[in-house]
Amino acid sequence: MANIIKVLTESTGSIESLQALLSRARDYQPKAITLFCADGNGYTPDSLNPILQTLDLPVFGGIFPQLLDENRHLEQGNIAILWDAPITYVATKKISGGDSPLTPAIPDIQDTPLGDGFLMLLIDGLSQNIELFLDKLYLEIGGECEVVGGGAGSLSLKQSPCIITNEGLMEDCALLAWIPSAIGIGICHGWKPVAGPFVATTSERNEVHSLNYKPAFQVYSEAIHDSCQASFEGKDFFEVAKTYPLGIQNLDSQVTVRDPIIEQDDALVCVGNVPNFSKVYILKGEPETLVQAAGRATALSLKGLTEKTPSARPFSFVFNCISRALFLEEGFGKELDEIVRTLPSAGAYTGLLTLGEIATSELGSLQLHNKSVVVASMGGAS
Amino acid sequence: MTTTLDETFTIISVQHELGMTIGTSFDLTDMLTTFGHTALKCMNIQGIFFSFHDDFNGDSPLTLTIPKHQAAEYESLAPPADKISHWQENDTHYHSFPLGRIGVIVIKRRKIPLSDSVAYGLIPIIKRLELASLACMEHGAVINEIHERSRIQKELINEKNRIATTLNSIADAVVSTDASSRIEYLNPVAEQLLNISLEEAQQKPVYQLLNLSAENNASDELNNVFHQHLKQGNAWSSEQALNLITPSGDSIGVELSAAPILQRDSAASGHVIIIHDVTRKREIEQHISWQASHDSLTQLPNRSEFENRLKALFNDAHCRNGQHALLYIDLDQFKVVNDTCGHLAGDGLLQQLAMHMKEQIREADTLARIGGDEFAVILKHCPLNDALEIAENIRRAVQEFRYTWDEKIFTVGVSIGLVPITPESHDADRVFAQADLACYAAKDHGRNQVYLYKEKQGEFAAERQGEMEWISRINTALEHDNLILYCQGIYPLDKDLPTHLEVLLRMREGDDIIPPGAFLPAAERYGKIHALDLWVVTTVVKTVADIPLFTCKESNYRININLAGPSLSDSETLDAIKELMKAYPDVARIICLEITETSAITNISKCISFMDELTAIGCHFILDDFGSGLSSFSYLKNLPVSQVKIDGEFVKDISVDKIDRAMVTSIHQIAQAMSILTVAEFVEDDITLNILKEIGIDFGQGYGIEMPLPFKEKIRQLGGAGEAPGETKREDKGQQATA
Repeated sequence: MANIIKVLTESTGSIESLQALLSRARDYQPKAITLFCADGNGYTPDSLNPILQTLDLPVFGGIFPQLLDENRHLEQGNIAILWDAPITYVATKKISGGDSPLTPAIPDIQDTPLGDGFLMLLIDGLSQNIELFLDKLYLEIGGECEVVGGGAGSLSLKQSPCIITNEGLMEDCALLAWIPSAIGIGICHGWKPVAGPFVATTSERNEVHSLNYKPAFQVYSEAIHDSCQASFEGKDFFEVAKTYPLGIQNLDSQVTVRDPIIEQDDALVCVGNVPNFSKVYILKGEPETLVQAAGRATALSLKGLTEKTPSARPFSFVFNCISRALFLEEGFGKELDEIVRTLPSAGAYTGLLTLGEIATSELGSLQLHNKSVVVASMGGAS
Repeated sequence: MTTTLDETFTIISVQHELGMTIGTSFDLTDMLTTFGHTALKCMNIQGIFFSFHDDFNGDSPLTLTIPKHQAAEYESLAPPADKISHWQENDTHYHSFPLGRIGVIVIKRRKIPLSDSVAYGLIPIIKRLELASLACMEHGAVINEIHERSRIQKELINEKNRIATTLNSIADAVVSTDASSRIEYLNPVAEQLLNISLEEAQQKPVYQLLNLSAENNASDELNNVFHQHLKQGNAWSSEQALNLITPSGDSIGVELSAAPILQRDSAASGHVIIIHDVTRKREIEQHISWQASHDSLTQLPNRSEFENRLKALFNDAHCRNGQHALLYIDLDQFKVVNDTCGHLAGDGLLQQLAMHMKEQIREADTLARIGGDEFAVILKHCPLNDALEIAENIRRAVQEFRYTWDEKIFTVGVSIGLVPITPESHDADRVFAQADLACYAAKDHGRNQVYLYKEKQGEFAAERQGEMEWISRINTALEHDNLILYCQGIYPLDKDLPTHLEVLLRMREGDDIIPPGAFLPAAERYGKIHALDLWVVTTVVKTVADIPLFTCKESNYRININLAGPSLSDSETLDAIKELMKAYPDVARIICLEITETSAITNISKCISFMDELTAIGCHFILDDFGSGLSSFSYLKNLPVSQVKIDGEFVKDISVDKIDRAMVTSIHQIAQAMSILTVAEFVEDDITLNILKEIGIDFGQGYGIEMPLPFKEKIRQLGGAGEAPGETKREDKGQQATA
């Protein structure tokens, strides 16, 4: 069982501040540190590696577009989560394609069942094959162990080293840390269907070429024009599309959001795969529903935790999509307020704005989400 | 139950998603894996399990679990194989779907079971999956067969390549034929050996290319036997040495074996013929065989080969009834050439003599070198008269041959023993011994002659046998101190010179005193002479060592001791004498060692070195029997001798034979000119003594002056007090003693 001793935050993002933060952390004699850094800090391997490589305890984490601290989102700064037990982690390198087939590295926890804890997955959000990695990971661990995490990296969408390990910063890799603690997970997005359903009659990984046997962009643009009077004419594609993501409905009517970010030759290029012949809706977001979704996700996670291990002082990890913040703009604070409001008074949370959110669904499958909020609540902070 | 349009849409979508994975691969596992992965995502399920009762390959039943670590969980389940089923364990729901008769699918879902509509919606998909699985299995079986065929084909190709590489690499010629003995294959060595390419050779009857011959077998007969074996599908290899006659007519020594290529019914579908070129091997064998049976110097058959041929003559019934002859040839004076000019000269002489002797015999005869300077000839089918003539021709040819070496000209002679070989002759060994005996007789009768073996010569054989017996008697005498010394005085004739005592050896056996002539020849022939010489020298030196009469500085006596030729050639004997003389320098001064000219020049340099060393100590040397051998004054000049003893043959008749007198005079004058004193032996009367005095000879010795006396007694006579072994006995001067 691992507990959080303390969460230390600083909001300047300078190396000196980080060093001071880590120096302060030592006072708590942690056995491991989870370190989340804001992309705005501008850390590079040259600046960060000397610090990481000289740490004499396990450190893992990532550089994310923004950090969440209570009701503020930090474009610069660092969060250090101090654990009272050693955390075992392992990184899988070259997930976009190396010399050998992609095989997820699973933390070696000897004879301890994986189900006695959960896996935090921090992955380079700009890597190829993220969903292939998730599929393979699921095939390795099945529903034995829940997984939660998100995509690290820069909002500039320029890939750079962003996963933190004791070896230093790493690029194009996935880090799995096994945390021996019960967890409850809530996944919500708050986006509502405005058109559909359509069938993705021709799709290839994250590119949807046709919907209902018609060019995907044509169907998409006509649908949002007809239902919402929105038009792409004279506008940047993403400026319009960020309000109208696609939603893949599964057999249980759950909708997984897919964010179309580029239009290319009448195809919609999404963040995340859209399976061939999947049932697809066009969604629309309203600030109110998105804010509510954050609260609902928090509540679901707390509920899930309570079902396993009731805790008076839960601690929640929030993996919130950066595009929600971009969409809600000034209203994003309300979403954070909603999370804080939903948490019990003794509870605490720390969060990240991510490039894709990852979680094991209620029914056991492991999925990559877009424009969603994933809340993972574990038993007690110290 | 009501199914909404939206739900139907969802089901159709799932059907589509799953349906698109069916038939995507002919590999059943691949297809099911793709299906399972898609099902996990589109149906929001935790796992899927496929179980097939059997497959078309007869392998163990196939099961596939996705994720695989759930396998144990599914295998413990027992889903009904004939109907769709749903059951729940805690919050996990299981749905099973029969895959027709071939298997079952189980789906695992958490918390929420599949709705009935979804479950039914899956039926057509699963039916398609069943058919596709069957197709995969059939295809797999076909593919497996194709793979197996391909594998076998590749192995065959590899095997063929291996065989081809092997055949191309081996040094033997390999020819394969079909059942009708027509060429199918030649490897490169065979192409080269038979001087024909594979393309040209193919389909040609093998007998056109393989023409064999053997030394003792007619070619036609041999080839018939070979081809008959091929025709009958039998293995064949020849036990005799074969030759392959090439199209160009060359004959190549080969070893050949043919093995049939047997089919399942044991019938031969052809042959593999291996031909090993043994030309070089045979050359080496012949060379080795020749070396083993021939003398490398003269190129003649050696003794072993000669004996084999002689025995073969006796074993050959046809020859056995014929008249043949055996010659045993011993060169006379060969040793002189060898010793004076060295072995190279001797070798050259032997080579040339061998050539000359060979010219005198017929082609069917055998001339062999059977020893150092000994030769033998088998004269096949040769009557005695013809054999005598050939032997005489050989003798004459050798006699007339002049051998030149370093500007010296040598002549040698041969002693030839001849034995006729008749049907009555006993065996090869006896005939050979008889020839040896006859040769010995030829030498004994004056050398350089042909001596025909006669039964009477058996006496000779007995004599030689007697010599062998002497050896054990000499050994006994040495061991039991049964040797005794006599001596005979050598007196100065007119001058004031010291008196010499020549020591003489006898053997005592019981009451008998045996003269040296009885045992010295045997001792010399069988290598005992060194021991006797050394015994004499040692005994004399130690005997007189304590007698002032001899050892004082003013002593007027000298003691002469004979050294035989073999002793002068034996380093150990010479070294022992030197050590002894060095140990007794007072005695050494009065010792005079008598050596013969022939024995001195046998190893002239060694002898001179020995003489110089002892001369330095004080010893003197006397050249004995001068005039009987080479009588070379040049040796007289070079050897450090102080006296020459003129051979008694010249002395004993000097009163009646003017030539002998002239010879003695001449030798004395030359010796005098060289400041060498002269001794005349065999002085048997006063007339002789006076003539010798007239000539001026310095010393005289013989029965006419003094009879031999036991050494001990003589010392006593002279007033010496020392003891000497032996007793007085009359010396037979005809058998001049020597030690």
